Amino acid sequence: MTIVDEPDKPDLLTQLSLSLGQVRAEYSPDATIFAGFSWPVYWGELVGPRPCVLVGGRGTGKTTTLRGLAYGGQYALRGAELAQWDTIGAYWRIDSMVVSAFTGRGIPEEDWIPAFSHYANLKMVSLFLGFCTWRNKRLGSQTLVDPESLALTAISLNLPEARDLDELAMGVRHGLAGLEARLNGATNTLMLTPFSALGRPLAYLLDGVSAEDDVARLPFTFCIDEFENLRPYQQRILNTLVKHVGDSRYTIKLGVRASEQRVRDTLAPDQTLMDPADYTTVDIVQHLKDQSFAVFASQVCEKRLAGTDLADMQMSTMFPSLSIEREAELLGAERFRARTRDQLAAERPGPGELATFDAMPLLEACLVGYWAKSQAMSRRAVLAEAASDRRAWEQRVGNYAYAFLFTLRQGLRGTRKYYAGWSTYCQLANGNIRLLLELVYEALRTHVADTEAVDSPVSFEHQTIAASQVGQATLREIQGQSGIGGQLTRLTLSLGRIFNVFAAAPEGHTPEVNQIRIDADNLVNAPRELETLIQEAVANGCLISFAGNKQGLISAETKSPDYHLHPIFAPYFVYSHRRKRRIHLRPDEVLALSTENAARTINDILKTRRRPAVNLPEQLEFYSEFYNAAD
Amino acid sequence: MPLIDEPLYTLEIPTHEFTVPVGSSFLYSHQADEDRATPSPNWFTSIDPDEIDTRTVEVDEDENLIVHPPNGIPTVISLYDAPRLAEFIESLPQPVYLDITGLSHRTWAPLVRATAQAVADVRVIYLEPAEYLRRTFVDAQRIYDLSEKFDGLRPLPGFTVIEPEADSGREHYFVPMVGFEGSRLEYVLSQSEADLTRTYPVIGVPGFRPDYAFYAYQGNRRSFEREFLHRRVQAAKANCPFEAFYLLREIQSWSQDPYMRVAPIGTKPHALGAVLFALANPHQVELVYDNPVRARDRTEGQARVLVYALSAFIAGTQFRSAAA
Repeated sequence: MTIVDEPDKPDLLTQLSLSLGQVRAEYSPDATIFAGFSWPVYWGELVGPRPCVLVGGRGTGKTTTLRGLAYGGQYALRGAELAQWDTIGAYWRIDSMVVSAFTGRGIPEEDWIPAFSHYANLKMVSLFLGFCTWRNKRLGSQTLVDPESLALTAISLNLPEARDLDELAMGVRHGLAGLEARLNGATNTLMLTPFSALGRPLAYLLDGVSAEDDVARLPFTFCIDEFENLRPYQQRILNTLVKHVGDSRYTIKLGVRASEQRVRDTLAPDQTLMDPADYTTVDIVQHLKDQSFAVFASQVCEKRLAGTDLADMQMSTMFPSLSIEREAELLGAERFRARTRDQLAAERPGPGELATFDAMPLLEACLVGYWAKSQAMSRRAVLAEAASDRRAWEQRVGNYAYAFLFTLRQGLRGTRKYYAGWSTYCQLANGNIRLLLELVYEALRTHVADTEAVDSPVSFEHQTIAASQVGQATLREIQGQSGIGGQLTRLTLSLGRIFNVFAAAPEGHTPEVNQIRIDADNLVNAPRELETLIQEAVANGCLISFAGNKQGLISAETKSPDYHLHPIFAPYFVYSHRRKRRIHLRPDEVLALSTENAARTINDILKTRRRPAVNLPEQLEFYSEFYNAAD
Repeated sequence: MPLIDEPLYTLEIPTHEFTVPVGSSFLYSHQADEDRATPSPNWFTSIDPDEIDTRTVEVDEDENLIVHPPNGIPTVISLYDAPRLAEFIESLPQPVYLDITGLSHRTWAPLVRATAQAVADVRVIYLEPAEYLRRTFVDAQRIYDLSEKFDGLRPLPGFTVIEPEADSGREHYFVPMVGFEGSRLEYVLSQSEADLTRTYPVIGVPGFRPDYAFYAYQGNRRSFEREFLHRRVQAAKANCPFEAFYLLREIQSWSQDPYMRVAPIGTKPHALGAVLFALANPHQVELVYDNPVRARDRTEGQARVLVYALSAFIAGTQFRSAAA
């Protein structure tokens, strides 16, 4: 393929930037985001009258999906006929700037409940009215609501009488302005006038929609995104509405980053939301695990690239993978084998031993040297073990070959480990489509800038460099993602470095360590602070939580999850991205790793596990001030 | 009146030359944690302490302003109660010098709001620091130092907007007024639904010192590049709220009646300009604020004193024509 210079067509780098570069659904108009929409596999579970909680971190496609359920999205996806739509609903992104105004000021939470309920009433009625206005303008059809219901809606919101939808819409705007003025006024007058009762106005309005109207065909769907921005008492208010979906003409679909950020209580003391009785949970990452994510991600990327000069490229061809054997060769395993052979020769081997060694495949031969060093054995003894029990030896090679790759280029410049292949890229993204698009964009950008034959596969080197850069970029973004972004950055830097040292010096230890378990028996420091740290780390994609200890051998530990450092960081810090083995850390150690003085704790953790000093990889020099703070 | 004929509302004075006039009142932070937040004793030399009404202010957990007179009982007023704050300002000996150097935005912004409703002569004092800590620059884009963490987006008292007109069809502009800390820009971008094609970051140029603008660029580089914002960066003098105000008004004029979200996350004088702009455009401008928790001792020393003629500006044509 060659790049064709057409008038008005931007160059390939610009095309890539435009098609893959900006990937936040929050900012894009409906027409733009749904032009390249790929139906997620869980779509079928979301539509319908049942309330649903969609769980997914930043970049998992949560917003795109929720907007796809709302009227703008359905119009873009299904066209102008309401009868063809999967859902009829509106999108509501919870804005921290708004909902935080209903907190504090010395007013107890319970007293805020009526004020926020009133706001929720006004907001939800205004969302429905917004749909009616849009429908009238865009589709040229009126929504039929009986006048008595309009009057009741207005009265229940303490608004002047409304004879039609426009008057009601104006009244709601005035109601919101009035509430805003009260919030900006003196605290002692804020609660003096009455508020509306939760859910009543919406019930009056939706009950009044004519049965002959197409809108009445489906419950009106409120797609509420960034639910975690609500305070717990505010979540309880919306949960109460979710609880009553069964006897109402609306339904609610919630988007939340991490399930830990959601409370399940309602305003009624004895009623908690239950899954599956009250709602369905869809965890995007779980749904997209393994193959289905690779397929979904390929579709998304291929659709986005369709308008560029790289149209028709398949992701699996564009991003070839690398076998362990081939990777060992590229990382210089031949040198290691030669060195091992010299050492074996110096041990005065018996007849035929050198020939046996020479007949071994590269990786096996290298493992002789690696195993001898890690177990403090002679090469001859290892060779004898390999010959005497083939099965055990092959298993050992299987267990340790990947970890061995990380040791090959210690103390040398350049790439220390490759991260290549479409399936590896999908594993690094871990179900996060935004990260995957960043990986693809970065790799193609580097590839196009450095390679003449742009339609050739992206080299292992370029794939690796891109993966490391996206890891670094993700790391640098953390500090802006959360209120405690500084702590999260330091925690990631600390864990990344620990796993890096473990990977570089694995001899004699468990290979491929990249998870932690926090020893709950050792709560010496403020547990609340730890909880916040871990919760934010999970919500912002630094850590991935998963049920640890599947066997449940130690009952006290079965409830606490383990945490995996997000694999996107693996190429930057250089450790294994494959979900493997864990270390135990005390709560105070985890907290210390998130402070400015983390360096001392990092050193202590490494020392107690008998790890030698390992040079900081070049790309981490950027943070040397942090890592050397203990000196 | 054209801008060029407007009086200057900012006075820049070397610290040692500034004195508080006899008969005036002086409000400053009760909880200063930086050198510059404590008024220099020089300002009150050769003056009988009784001739200046000096009071310190602080804020309690419930967002009440507590004003401590030198002797006697403190006054407590809700920061949301603009009429009572205005009464309090009017009751002080005039002119009132309000030193915002050591005050948080949550404290001084409601006082500025009240000033706009008061019949008073309020002048705002701001001290530039002599130095930010060295690490501030080195780590500007790594792990921040000026702020320890954020309490999260929350409107300043009296500046709540609960219906940000997201679906109104009006053009939305987002104007982050940035400082050194790139993480603050990243945070507000990640937390607010900004239209990136209509986002215009503002940097303090000229800076307190000539080299400061570079640190601001360096600190925000990643967001600028990533979101293609670098070509839309605007400049306003870092220590002048009125220049910031005029710049915001100019940005506003680029479109017919746009809705503007302004994030005052850079210099305090810029934030003052943003607050004034929001007051002058009540239904057209929303302030987005991230509520950073400040690191202690983030600056050293005092450089220049800046005196802003707040009440004079509010009475002037530029403010009133916007508010009209």
